[in-house]
Amino acid sequence: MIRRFTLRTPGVSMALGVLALGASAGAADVAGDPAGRVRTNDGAVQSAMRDELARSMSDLRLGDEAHPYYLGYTIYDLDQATVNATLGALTAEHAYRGRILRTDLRVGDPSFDNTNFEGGAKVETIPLEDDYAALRRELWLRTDEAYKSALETLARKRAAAEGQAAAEDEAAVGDFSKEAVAHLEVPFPAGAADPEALRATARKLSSVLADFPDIASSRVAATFAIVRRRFCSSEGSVVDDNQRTVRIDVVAETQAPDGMKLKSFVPFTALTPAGLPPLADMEKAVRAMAKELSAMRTAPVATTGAGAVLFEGLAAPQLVKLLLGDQIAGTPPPRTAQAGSDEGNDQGALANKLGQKVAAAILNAVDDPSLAAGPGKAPLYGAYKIDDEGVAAQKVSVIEHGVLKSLLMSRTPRKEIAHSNGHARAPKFAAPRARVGTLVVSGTRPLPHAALLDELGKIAKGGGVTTYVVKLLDDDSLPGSDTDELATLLAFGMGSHGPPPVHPLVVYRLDHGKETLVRGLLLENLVPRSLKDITAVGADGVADNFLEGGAGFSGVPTTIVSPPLLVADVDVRRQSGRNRKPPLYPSPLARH
Amino acid sequence: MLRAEAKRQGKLYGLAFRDISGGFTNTARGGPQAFKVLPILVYRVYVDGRPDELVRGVDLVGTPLSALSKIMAASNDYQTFNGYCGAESGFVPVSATSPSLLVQQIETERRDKGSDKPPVLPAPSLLPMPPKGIR
Repeated sequence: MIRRFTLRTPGVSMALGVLALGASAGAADVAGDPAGRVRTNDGAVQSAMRDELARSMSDLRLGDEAHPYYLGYTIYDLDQATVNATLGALTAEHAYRGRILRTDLRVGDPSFDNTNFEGGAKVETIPLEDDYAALRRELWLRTDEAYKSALETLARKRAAAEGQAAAEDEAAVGDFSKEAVAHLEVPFPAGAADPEALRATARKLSSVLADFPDIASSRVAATFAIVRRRFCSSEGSVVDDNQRTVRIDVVAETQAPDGMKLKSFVPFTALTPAGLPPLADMEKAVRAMAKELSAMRTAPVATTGAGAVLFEGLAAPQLVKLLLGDQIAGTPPPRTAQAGSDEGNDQGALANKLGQKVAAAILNAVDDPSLAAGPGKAPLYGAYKIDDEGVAAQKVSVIEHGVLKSLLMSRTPRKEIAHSNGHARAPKFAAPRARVGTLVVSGTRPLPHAALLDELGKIAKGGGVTTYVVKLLDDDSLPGSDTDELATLLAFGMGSHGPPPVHPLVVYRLDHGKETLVRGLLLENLVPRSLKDITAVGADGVADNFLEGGAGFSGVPTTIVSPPLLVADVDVRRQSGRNRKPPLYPSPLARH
Repeated sequence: MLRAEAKRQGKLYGLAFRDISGGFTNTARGGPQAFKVLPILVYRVYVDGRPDELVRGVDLVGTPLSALSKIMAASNDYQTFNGYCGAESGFVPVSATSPSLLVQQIETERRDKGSDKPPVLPAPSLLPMPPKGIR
């Protein structure tokens, strides 16, 4: 065991104190604050970015090495409040503010540069206050680091390219497409992410679950994140905009008398706390979820066999996310220094099938970040005007009548598509790549709900197939994931082949038009090609707003809208494995 | 006293450690019971009375018991440090108080220099022209 110690002698802290005083005293004349204690200026961030960018582009050069041909800075101001509650009492509360810088510096030229290779994004935390000198100093140092590392990467990439036979699809594709310059400045609305805005809602929603003694544990996690994005590039693009997201997850868990673990949740999403549904409506939804979960304890267990499944409600967009979400991104995977096949790389299994049939002919999918509102005026997380590489967002028709027509593109081109369509999106601590904005799935001949159930009935009549209506799938981004479940997943990865099974949370079995709540089933072999097994599509879309690649401010706000989807052929497996026994004593809530 | 001792040992100078950033020691059974201290501020104190000279890149290494037994003198200028010590239990807040100590002999080590080049461009604060807009 290594013991480490760090210490500060009084002498040194004194010296630091003096330095700090000196700096703030000298700053009095630049301050907006009459007392002169804090140097802030709303234009300081923009000016610091612009000035250091100009200097770097004109002067930054190491010996005989190349100078940067492109430099882009993105500064995110992060502001987030999180409130957790259980049974009417707050359990945790956090407020966080921070500022981070992503530096995208490129050497070489657009046809072959240091990107699209090994090495990740350059993201660093930088000073929170709008202090010109402090920010410029950070920009200077981070740009210097990015430049040196870019030179190194370019050299390694060149060396690797020399030693590898060029793959046919890499020839003359290039690394960085030329796009129009973007300019967007949106005023930043006043107000911070205040936990107070969520407290009462979290308390009230969590207290609803106190009325359900059959539910063993429950929690409400509410997050309000505000992200201001400032982007400027050596090409002249300037973006200053912001995004707000509110998400409240109400999660409940319990066990059936035979020990089977049961879970359900209901999410509420909005762009501001005021945009959430009325409290009474949210309470009603939580109550319905809790009632259903309580009933699930004594519901019959599903049987293994062939199934026809109607995914409706939130389960439809959840299924689309699973089957299509990452598949329609056209950003090619980065090249590697190692020679060898990339067959193990399953990123974008659909991406190489442009012009081919990838889904049932009745299915269409469009990604349109310019949509203002979803079905029933639902707020859309995935709405934006300019993407994270400074390219204007375009509407992309991805699937038309089951045929893959286009892909979501960033500025990293691919053989078939040379330009970005404004879908470069980045979790705050990673580099941008093509991702879904607002993906809307629709049917060519949409059927009303009753007709969808008739379709299921028809399939059942054929015999040998059990019909189910799945209303909710499990979501691994939910707070407080179960360690037993994690162990099952890990064990699965080691022993079996094929994709991990999909775990539906709320399932009804349909017998002769009658819906019966069932539990304990897993859906197997749901893969992108299952899109071809969709035999009917409903009419009314449901929006699923989520944060991709991280919770709160760090994730990419994304929306998938889908109407109910009927998948005619799904392998249904009865959940197996041993469960812990339910608690020995009844819940204390049951006594009053 | 430092000068006198250095002279007696036939050395050109002694070292005065004014500040350190931290250090570590290996306490595991079977491990070498050695410590390393990472100084920040070190001066050469010359026996011939030249002014003290600031030096860099000196680390202190040694074994605790022999280092303690070589203490020749202690001053009356007590100082306290407050810091965190990472032990088997994780980081815990610790305090220690000591006067200046004169150690007869201690082993030093030259610190790894690293190979990073300094920044290509000068610091923006050193630029002659004040930035636009914020003056």
